[in-house]
Amino acid sequence: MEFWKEDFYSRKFAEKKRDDTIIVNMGPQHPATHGVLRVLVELYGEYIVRSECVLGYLHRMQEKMGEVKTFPQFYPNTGRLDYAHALAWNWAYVGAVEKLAGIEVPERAEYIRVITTELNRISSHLLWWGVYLLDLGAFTPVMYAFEDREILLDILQKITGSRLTYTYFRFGGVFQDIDSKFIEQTKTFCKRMRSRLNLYRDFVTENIIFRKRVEGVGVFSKDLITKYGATGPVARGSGIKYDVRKAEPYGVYDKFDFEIPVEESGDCLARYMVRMKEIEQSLNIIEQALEGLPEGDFRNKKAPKILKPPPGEAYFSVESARGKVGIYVVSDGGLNPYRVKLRSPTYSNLSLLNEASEGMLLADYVATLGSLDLVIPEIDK
Amino acid sequence: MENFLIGIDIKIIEDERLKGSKKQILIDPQNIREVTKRFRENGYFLEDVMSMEFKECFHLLYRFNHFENPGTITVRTSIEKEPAEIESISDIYPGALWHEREVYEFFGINFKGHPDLKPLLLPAEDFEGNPLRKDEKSAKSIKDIFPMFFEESEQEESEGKEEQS
Repeated sequence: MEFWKEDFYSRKFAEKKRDDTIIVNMGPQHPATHGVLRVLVELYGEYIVRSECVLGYLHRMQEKMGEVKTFPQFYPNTGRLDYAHALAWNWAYVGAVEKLAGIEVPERAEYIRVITTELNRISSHLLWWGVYLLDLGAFTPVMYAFEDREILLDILQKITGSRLTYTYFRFGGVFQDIDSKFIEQTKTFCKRMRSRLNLYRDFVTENIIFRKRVEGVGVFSKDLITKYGATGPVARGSGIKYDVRKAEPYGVYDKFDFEIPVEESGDCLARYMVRMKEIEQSLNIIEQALEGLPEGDFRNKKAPKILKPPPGEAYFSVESARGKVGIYVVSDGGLNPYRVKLRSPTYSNLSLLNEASEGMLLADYVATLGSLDLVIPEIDK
Repeated sequence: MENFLIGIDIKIIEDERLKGSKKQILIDPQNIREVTKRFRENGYFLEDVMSMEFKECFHLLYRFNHFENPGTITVRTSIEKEPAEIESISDIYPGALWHEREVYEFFGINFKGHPDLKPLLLPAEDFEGNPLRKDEKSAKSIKDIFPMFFEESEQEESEGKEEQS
């Protein structure tokens, strides 16, 4: 009895199977898929003829929860969508509701948001860096990455109260102010991280084995990116200079001087390089924000306690470590949102892989899958 | 940007109650493929496709954006509840393949011409229903939440009546 005939998706997938190929099921429990992602691949020898992602193993119906909870009640859910860069989702939801209800944010709060979100972006990229190399068969780098990430989590834990699934922002500001100790620790971390980046470069980026594994592998053309609406480092690795922080500035991002790293080659190495350069740019932003941190309130004291935004809609998008996060909220004038829609970047980024994987080696498929920086809770919603 | 949409019957909506998009365009459902084709030809990418339910219709939103000329453009259309169907745009933007499957399972809207319309996030077997459908109690009228879609046409109607009288 062939195992795949037991299940709806495998049966459907097997309908178009060729006689000279075999079907391999990867996941939902597989070390290379980082969470419960399942992939069905049709193989001719070691080459992929066809592949299909099967989603929904972590589906929680977040959008329905948005409709049955009040505006503030749904807010903690946003921190659980992308556990690696939770603050970006926090910001997207808070931003959408603030826009809808017309709540103003003090400048100091905007600066704090930038600093914490960028710190979170670095921790997300570090996590990806370590785990991606684990995918490729290098065990040691993840130890280095987690050493640095641990410092970041400690810094963020002191002000947010949690280590991973943050719920730090509030409508009209942030939960609590940052203190001089936080500033001092962050400055020390920025200095340390720069020297560590040099170490990473010597240690991994210029390693010949790593290069052979990622150079020219999983090339995405510009047209493919446009067709599937991929964003973030995936799009920037294919030569598309699009970053929400620069393209559609939100918060106080237009006050900082930073660059958008772009690579032209579109392969796994390009996406790797974009992320490594982004860490550097995030450090620049943090240092500038700490330098220009204004005095004042960290939360708008006039923000209403009971939120009943007027009928209408708001769409707010931010740049997360994975790409463009967008949250769309409709209010009917009541306590609950009428509709919440979550636009998650990895959802679009992953959808292009079915087409891109045709003719790829299975080993390269794993390298490409890792280079997309997937976070499954965000895809499954 | 409206230049490339010339020749199609569209209504541009400018209202401060609709926040976050650069442009809001209301179209008839039968024009969706033509509009999408024009966006594709002009280098736009598809952000997402979504739907919401009202008492009298399903309201569909297609968000487009441009890498060089950024700013979200929301294309909106309303379709009847019976039969709830619209042409698929997945052959123009394959990125819509998953979005349309999601709308299909959450709302039960049929996308004509979609090559593989099956559930994406919900269980494919042993599950019935469309979780984001509203019941009679919670469904609102589209006129309560988005009155601006109807304002202009009502004005025209009343003007017409005045002329008649």
